[in-house]
Amino acid sequence: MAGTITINGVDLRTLEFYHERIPGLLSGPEQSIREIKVPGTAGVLFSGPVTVGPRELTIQGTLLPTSATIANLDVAAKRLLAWVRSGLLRIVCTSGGGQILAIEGTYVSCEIVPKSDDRPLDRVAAEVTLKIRCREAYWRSVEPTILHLTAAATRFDVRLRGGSATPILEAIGTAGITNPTWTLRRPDGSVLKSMLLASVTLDANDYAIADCRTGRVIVSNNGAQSGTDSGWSGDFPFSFDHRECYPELGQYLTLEISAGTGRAYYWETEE
Amino acid sequence: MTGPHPMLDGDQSLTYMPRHAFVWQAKELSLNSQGGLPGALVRTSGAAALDSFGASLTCPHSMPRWERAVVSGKDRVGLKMSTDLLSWDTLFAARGLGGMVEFIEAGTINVEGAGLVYCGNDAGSGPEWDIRVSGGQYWFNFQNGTSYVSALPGGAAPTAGQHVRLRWRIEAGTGRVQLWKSIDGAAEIASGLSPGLSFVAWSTPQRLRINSLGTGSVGSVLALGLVVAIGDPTQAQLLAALS
Repeated sequence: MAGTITINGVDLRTLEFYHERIPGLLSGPEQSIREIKVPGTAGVLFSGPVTVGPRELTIQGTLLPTSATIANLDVAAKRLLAWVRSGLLRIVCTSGGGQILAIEGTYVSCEIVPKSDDRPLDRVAAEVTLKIRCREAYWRSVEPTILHLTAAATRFDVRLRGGSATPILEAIGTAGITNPTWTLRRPDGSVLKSMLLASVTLDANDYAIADCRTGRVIVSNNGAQSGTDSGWSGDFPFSFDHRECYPELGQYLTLEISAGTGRAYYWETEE
Repeated sequence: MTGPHPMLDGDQSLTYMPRHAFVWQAKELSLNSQGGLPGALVRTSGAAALDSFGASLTCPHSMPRWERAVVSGKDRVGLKMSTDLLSWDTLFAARGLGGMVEFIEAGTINVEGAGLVYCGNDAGSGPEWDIRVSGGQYWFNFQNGTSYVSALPGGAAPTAGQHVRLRWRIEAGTGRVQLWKSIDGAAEIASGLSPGLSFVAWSTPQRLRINSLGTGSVGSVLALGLVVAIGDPTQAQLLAALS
């Protein structure tokens, strides 16, 4: 499968722009850390917090109209410029391996140079260098990861690959579950976050949703949903922090639910 | 269509998309459309779904069954539907429009009369348009309450597990309809244009549905996305809306 790149939903190939190099695609974001200079010869001390990003993304390639004429190159150049200068850009990369990642940014510059040694005004193709400043440090996975908690009081690995993620948590009832609790633990078992759904009873036809993106809690009883924004206590909302995971050692954050079963889903971020 | 870009000075033009009246994508893990129309899912019994790691879990009453699937080499998430009824309260009055539905075939094609996409009243009567199974193939139908016209592309019907995109249009003014079919990313196969059909005013309430005709004739699919646009959208424009 050939990889593709789209900007605001439009495949660049339909704008007659064929990417060839994407510096910054696989690079990590910028990172900065405070330094405190120590007088004398002791050097420096590092101080947190470490800040990350933004990311600079450059897309280089060729602008080549399907019907290669000078006039069509002019049209294609104006069309490409109009599209990439349209405000907030949502860039989606689909790798040949099938992974789909997205990032948002704004236009910085677009250099369009006709391919010519001697007659630049009479050429039918151009080299393009498009620079984008990304608002986010990390790429986001377009497709979510779904994690089923198939048994109560059992730790399930949260297999983060790159960056942090904000989850949506669900508790699924059986007969008469009360006050289910989600617990997020470090790989060593120590509790990192814990959230209790207070005064909630979930029977076999019921479930509850705690959306850490919006901070809302919704309970569904026999298909009828109602909000219970105050019906919880503890840590909420929270995120899955990849810095607590050690994938190279097979050690991950774990998530569990105290009773019934559950489900978590989240959109991963990647460097 | 082409024309001056509204954000520019009018001295440049580019292709822009018809207005998307409705876009829903399973990967957002929301039943609501992107425009905020609330989706209603009804399933009275518990039913299972798989997570990203292959573990099965029973989802209770009306809980969406989000499920991971590998589609054309890509890791995708869809909404598993069998006895599930999913609908939005929206009205597409008699006018020219186009749309696309993307799904993994899971058995609808084997159920004669089952619905895949439907816009009309809950009873499945009166003016409506739909994609349904007839004779082991997906047909697009447009009814004005008295008569109907249909479209059927050639080629083999999809089989279980195949990734399917169906695109349709109702031509403004004439009421002629057309359906395109793409299986596992292959090039679209187009039907011919049907005869014309007069438009009539629709009464409310009307609902847009996936996986049924009204509240009956339920199918079985892993739904990935649905877009309906006013006008005559191209394949690329509809694909972009679902990207």
